Amino acid sequence: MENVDSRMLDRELKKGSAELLILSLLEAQSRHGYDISKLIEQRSAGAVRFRVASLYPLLYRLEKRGWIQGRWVEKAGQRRRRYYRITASGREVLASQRRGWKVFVEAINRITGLEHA
Amino acid sequence: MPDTTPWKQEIARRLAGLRLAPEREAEIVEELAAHLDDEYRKTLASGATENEAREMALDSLNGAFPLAEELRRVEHRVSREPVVLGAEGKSLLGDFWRDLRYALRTFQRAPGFTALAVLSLALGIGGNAAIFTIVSAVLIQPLPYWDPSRLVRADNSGYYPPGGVVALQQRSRTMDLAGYNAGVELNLTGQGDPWRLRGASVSANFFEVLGAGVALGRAFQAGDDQAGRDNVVVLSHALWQDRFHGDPSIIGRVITLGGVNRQIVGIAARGFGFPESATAFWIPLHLDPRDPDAYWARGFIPVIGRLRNGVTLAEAQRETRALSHEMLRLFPYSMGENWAAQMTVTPLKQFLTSDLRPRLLLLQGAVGLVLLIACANVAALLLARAVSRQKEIALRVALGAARGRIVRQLLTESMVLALAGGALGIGLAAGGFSLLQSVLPPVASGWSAVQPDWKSLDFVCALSLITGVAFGLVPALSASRYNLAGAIKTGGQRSSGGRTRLRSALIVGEVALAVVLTASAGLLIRSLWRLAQVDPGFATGHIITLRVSPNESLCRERAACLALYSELLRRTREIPGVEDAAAANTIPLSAGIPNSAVKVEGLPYVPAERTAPLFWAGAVTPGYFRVMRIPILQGRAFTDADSDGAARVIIVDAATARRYWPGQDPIGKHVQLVWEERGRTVIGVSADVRQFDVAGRTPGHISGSMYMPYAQTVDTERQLPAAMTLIVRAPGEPAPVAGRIRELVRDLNSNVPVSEVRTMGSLVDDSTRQPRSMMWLFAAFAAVALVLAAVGAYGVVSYSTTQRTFEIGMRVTLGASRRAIFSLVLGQSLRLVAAGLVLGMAASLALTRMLAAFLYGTGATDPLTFTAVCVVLLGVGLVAGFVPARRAASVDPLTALRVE
Repeated sequence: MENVDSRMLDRELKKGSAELLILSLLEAQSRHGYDISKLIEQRSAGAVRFRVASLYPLLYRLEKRGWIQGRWVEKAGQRRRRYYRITASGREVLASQRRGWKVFVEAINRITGLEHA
Repeated sequence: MPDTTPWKQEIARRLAGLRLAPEREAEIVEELAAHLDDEYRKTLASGATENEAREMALDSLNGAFPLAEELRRVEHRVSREPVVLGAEGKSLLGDFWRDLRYALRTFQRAPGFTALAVLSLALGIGGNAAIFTIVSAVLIQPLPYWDPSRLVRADNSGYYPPGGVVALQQRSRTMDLAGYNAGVELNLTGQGDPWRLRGASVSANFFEVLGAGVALGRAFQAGDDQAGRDNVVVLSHALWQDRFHGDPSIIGRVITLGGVNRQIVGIAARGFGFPESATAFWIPLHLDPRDPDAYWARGFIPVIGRLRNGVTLAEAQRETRALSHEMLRLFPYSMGENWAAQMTVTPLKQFLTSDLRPRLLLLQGAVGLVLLIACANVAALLLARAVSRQKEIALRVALGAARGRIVRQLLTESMVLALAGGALGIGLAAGGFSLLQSVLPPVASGWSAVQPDWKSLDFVCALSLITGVAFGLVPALSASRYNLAGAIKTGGQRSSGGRTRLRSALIVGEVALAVVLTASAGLLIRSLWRLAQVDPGFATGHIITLRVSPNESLCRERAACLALYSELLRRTREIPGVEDAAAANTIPLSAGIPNSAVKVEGLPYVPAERTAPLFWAGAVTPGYFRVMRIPILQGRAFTDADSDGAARVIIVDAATARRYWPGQDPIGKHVQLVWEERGRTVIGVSADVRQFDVAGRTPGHISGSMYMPYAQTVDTERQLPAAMTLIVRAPGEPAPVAGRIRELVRDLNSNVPVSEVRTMGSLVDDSTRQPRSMMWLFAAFAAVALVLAAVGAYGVVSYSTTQRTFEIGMRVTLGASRRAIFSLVLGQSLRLVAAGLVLGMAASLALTRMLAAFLYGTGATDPLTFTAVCVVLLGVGLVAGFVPARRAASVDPLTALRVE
């Protein structure tokens, strides 16, 4: 993946796979919005960054669809935060998106021949 | 905890345009502010300046699109369930709410259509509700008495004498019976000004038979109607309240009624009013077998009964006929055999409503037509809308909406319309209610106090729902049956032929119904006009009438009574402004019908076969014909010389003379009151007058009319009539003259009340009140029907003109003149109306027969009226077609051809 042009990846991610990213990050544990955005940034080594203006609307959309669920959590000495967890139907969607993504990436690779370069 | 207020303010500012729900906005602001704060702190920690860190954090609020834009897509679209016409829902109720919201939004977008539809329906539903309220109260709900289904009236075209009532009571095994004499007028004196009251004399078991209770004291009991023990009275609740201030200690008090002291034994229950709703008191029938004349020959009265357990109507009737037959032998004089044979027993309710039933059913039918028209109109509107929604619906179907769901959605829309119409209709019903009530004669037992109630609200709801289905189903089914490919391909511009035909059929039907209503209204208008043209046969202008009613006891001394009236008349004539004055026991068009059984010279009188004819028996002072301007056609009028002691004379009216002495000279003939020894000589023939009603109808039991000089009159009580109506010719203001006469009467005898002060003109006006109200109602129905029909026809023509824009453009291009286009479109409107007119005329010819009983001087198929209806309807066709025709004629062919 290192060779992938980051601008292209950025566009692709924003276009179709942002949902996949978020659902993946929530698969193991529930997280709040800032946490999610930092994780994406870290794990993509800064290649993918979500701005507030796109991250939260996306979270709300996923929530409305019933794929994730947010709730306010208060911890001593900290401010109140909204944690999101993945729902059962969210897991189903994640599984199917992963399959689709895999097919897509494989197809791209076959066409561009990157794997054999 | 760090302060996030500046972040919050900035975010809130950016969200302001979204108008989110306040709680939702607060949540978003809090969550995003926390994020920005984290970001800010992290940047600070990495060594940036505060300014740089703030800039970076704020920059995060700008994505590919501004924050508000991104959020709008999520929050606004998703916050409401997506409302999709015909989308498959999760539950029936959920579907319903979804459909409802969609319907409301659809209507918001088409306010003109919605207003028109709702108003049409409101008129239809409101009218039905108002009339149904009365129909329900009068025809459907039981009488307000205990176990009312067993109440009957033993009727006998004539009535029973008091002795006959007692005989029936004693012998009947099938019923408990009670006689009653309505319209007993007595003076209440000794309670301030003398007061004329209208009450009833009744059998002692009257209250028991009706099953009516009392509010205070007791009802009559056995023996109360025996001579010597009958000086008791039950007062109506209203009289007790008004004249005695609801005094709870009133029982046992003695009051003077008609100059007789009577003890108050009870107060009737509130609202109880039988035989008349305004009955003020009840006194026992005066039953004295020692006076055979009073017991058997005078005061024939009607009888009501309560069937005993398990007795059928037929059994009661059989028995009563047999008993009446036996009773013939009891009469001290011979009664006709046919008297007993005419005996019938009918349910009391049926008897009481027989007069109202046809009128009410007619009104309900007419207002039902209005609703049908409204339904057809809204159905046509919906069909038109359905055409313009064709593409939308086709797309829904293409996207997988089931046909049932689409029908359900469209039906929900029509239900919403119908319920809105119903709600508005209730308002209209309440407003139009008083007009309705004036159409109906006041009836017994408090029906005149009918008010809209919750029951009629149920009716309105039910009617609205039925209406909604009625006008919504066909358009909905039709709309859901679209040819998908066709609809989308043609862009939904042109309607299919079938639907246009359906709309046209609806309009034709609507016009036909409007024709029926217009023809009915026309006939009633013509009838009323005829009635207004009627010459009643007497002068109606400048005449004041007043009822003067001394106690009957005053006239036991004939001389005292005669002196009172002669003095009253003399002094009345002296009042400035009074030209002339006379008195009569009854005046034309008033309720009273004094009568006497007579033997007529030349008419064979066979007592065993038939009863003696009853003559209307007027008692008038000599000036009567002069004051009333009633011409004497033959012989002479009465003079002061026709006094008590002089030879007995009468004047008959022309109709009576013609009937009994055709081709003969009536002067010198004789008419004998059955209880008198000798006949009275006819000395004059007066012109006919409209005595009983303006239409000139005579009650069935009256066979002729005669006038007696007041001084020589003997009424059914064998004495001078005590209560007389003063007829005063005074060209000026009536009120001051009436005031002077009141003073005069008080001077002469302070115990004599003066009542019913009115002008002859108002009396004549009142006598046409019912036909007038009926006419107004029908005229209103017809007007609504015509407007709806015009709007409907306009809608169809206008719509189809729009659809034909291309065709019209072609025609113009190919050389058709503007004029030809104008006639083409106008012709379409006229064709619709003409088809409806033909259909409606045929229906009217059949239906207006039902109106015949309400018409005067015009047939139910009056050609003039029907011609006028044709003209009116063609006018409607012209009006409806004019605007679309003009629009079509001004179509620019270039624009028109570009439509495709």
